Amino acid sequence: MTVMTPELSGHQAARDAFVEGPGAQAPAWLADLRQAGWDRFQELGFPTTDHEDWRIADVSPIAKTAFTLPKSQTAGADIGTFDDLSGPTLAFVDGAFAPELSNIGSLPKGVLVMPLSEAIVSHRELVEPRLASLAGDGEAFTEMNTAFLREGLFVHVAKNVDLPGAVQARFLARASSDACMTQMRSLVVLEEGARATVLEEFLSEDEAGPMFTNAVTQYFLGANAHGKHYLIEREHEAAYVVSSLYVEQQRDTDFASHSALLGGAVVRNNVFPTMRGENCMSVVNGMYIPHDDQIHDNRMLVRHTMPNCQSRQYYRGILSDHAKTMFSGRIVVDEGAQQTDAVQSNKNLLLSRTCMAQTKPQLEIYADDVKCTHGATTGQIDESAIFYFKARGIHEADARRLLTFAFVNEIFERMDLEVVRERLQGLVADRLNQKV
Amino acid sequence: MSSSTDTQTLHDVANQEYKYGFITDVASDSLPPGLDEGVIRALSAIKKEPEWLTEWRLKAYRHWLTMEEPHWPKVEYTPVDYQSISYYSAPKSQEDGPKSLDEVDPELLETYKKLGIPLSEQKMLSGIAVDAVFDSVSVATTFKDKLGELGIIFCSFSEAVLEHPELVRKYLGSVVPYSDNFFATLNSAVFSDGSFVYIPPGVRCPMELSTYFRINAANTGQFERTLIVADKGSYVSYLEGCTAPMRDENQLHAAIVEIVALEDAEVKYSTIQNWYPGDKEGKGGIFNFVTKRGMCKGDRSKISWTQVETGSAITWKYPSCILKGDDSVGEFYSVALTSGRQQADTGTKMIHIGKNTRSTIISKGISALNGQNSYRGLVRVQKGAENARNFTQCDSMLLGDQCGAHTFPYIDVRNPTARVEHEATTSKIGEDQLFYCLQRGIEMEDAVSMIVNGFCKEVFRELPMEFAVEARKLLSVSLEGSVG
Repeated sequence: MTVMTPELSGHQAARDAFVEGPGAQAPAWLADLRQAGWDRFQELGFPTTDHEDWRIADVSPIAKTAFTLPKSQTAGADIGTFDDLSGPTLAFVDGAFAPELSNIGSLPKGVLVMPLSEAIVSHRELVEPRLASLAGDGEAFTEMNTAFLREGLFVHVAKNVDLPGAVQARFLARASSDACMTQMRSLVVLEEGARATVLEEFLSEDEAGPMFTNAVTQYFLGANAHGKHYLIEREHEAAYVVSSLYVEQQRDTDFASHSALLGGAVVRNNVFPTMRGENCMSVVNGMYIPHDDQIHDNRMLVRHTMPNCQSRQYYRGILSDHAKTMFSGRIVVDEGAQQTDAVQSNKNLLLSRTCMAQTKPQLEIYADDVKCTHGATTGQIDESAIFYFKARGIHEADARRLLTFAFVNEIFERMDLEVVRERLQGLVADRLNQKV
Repeated sequence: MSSSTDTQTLHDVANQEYKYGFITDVASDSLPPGLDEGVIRALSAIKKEPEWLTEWRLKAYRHWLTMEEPHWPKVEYTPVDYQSISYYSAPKSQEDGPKSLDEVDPELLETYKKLGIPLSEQKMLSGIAVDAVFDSVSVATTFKDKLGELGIIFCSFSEAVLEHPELVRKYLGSVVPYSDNFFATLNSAVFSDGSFVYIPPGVRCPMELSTYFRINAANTGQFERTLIVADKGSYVSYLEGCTAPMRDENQLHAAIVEIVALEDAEVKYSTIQNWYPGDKEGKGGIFNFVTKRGMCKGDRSKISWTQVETGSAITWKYPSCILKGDDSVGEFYSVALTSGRQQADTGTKMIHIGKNTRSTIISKGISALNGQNSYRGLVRVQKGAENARNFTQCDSMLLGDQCGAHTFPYIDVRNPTARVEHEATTSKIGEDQLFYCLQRGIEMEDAVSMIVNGFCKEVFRELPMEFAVEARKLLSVSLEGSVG
């Protein structure tokens, strides 16, 4: 038995409350899975800033706070749905499914969209092996998420079915005087030849108290499947957020992950795609626009295990005020993964004297017939570009705004959901207009 | 490029013996293996060191006891038993020291001849002053008088401790403090000898200063310590090159190089490292765990590191620059080749502190057979480093499907006026380039060597001419038959 540190014992109460409260009446297999997750989490403990992967994202406030499970109240909640986006919407308020705010509508044949808690009961055969597949991956927060596994989005698209529009999962944290935590687990399964887009947005009411969001999404793509994932992080700026996206790609699959980080006090966003078959394409496209004292930490691990796959990673950040960011991207090309083509790029724009950007673009290559490149830049707006604008009668402030916005435009352009792109562009413009 | 020639050439290179593997039998005067305060006191006493230095060594040793050996680099090796190393070994005839070449042990001269060190007339022709380190004690120093006229001090470290204690005391540990890291601390406690260079203000050193290190007596770790101080407005180019005899046990080499450049000074430090890499199973090679750091202390100073790393079983070093003075410049040019079972985790650190500081990093990694090659570098721009500029390019080339090439850059920017760029590529040797050469009747091996040399051209260009020639030759020899 491991010795319990004060940090862990603080969370033991929440765990006990979970087991007796919302987590009660779980089938035996799920109870076992959670217990195993909790045991491993206790062994691992909370990472500290001494840990190479956690230098910037200081999670000690999470460790030190005794978070409680929130009481879900849906009356008067605004979940900010993208109304112009076709497809089902599921709302989760304070970690609980809110049917009255959700709109699943009619689904094409072969498509299942429901809260995970329901799928656990009705589709155990689809859910159990996949939920269990993350066991022991060494990420403390993923293990912790498993220990509280109960709710989230569940999507299953049958062979060769195309799900038009996008599935929206909206996670809202309501105002609360207590320090609350939510542990969401989403599961998206695309069978052979299926197509779907999933959007997850995390938001909170402004006056919400200190909170901790720990979300894990698992995305499985069968052969020839096409999947897309959007993550929008817009929680208030006292929120601690860890979100992890695990992607498993079989042969000939095409996957794209888009992320936009705007909110949170400390946000850690993990993206872990693994290409298990040949001819895969994996795109990771992300932006982070931290200001004030926000810390945005993007970590990415792309694994090429089979030949002839391509991966692309594009991350851009605009930092202002006292913001701190970390980009840690690693491409691993296994022995035998010949003809791999991988490109990684991280660019940072610093708008203030007090912000700090760190970047670690890494390549780990064990095959010889590969083409891998990575690039990283950190700097400010090119003065000659400003001059070009001024020479053409455009005011300097406008020129700066235009160039700053253009810096992340490339990331927007890769997002193919127009309504999402437009709303994000508005949010980013609002923030940047105050900073430039 | 049929697979049978592949196999054949792989066999050839795998069976290739280390060309510089010979042992010179010279009676050694060694301390018994083991390490404690007594050994350090004895070592210090043998070298007739002043009290402050003995205390400094002991302080380092006591600190070392509290440290743990780091394991973060991407290298694997059998743990080193620090108690089985003999911490001092010097060739006999120490009483007065040789006055001229005639007094030098003929076997030593024979060794140098094999290494091609121009110690006799050749030195005049090549214009190089050689402070040859045979095991741990400097045996002969040449060109001293000529350098002396200009006020340049170029001598062994022990000599400097006795003759120029004020300089040594002022700068020793000022760039690499005794508590810096596990191996640097060990070195601070037990360093045996090394070179000391002082260039007085405004002097441009008229020749390339050169030291050949050579590890000899069995079971002797080498703990060299080099200190280079370039005073205001001076310039010096320093060369370091190494070969080592064949050996069955792993040998630890934990050296320290400290460079201090004052206002307007420029130091160029070039290394060719070709120590024994171990046999085909990777047994018996040298562990090269070195701390090299330069401090651009004064405004407009410049430190440039150039290294060609082809030897050693494990290379683990990051020649770094601390750009403290305004407008100071740091450069790092590196070629690292890993073949057989060699592992290299190397790169640089550029710490920008002063205003308008600039740094350039060009790193070329080549992996063949089962070699594992990692670039690990840090570029940090501190808050006050206005208009800092960095450009980093690290390219890796893979020859064969069993090797690995890895890149771990760290970029940490805390000032918005900084411009930092990093580029890296990893690719196979160009099939079309090879085909082009073959089609024109150039042998496969020559073609590979030509392409690889071209790949490294940006680095070789930075080497002094004598070294560049040697580096090219070394690279060809190391690559012989490793590609098909």
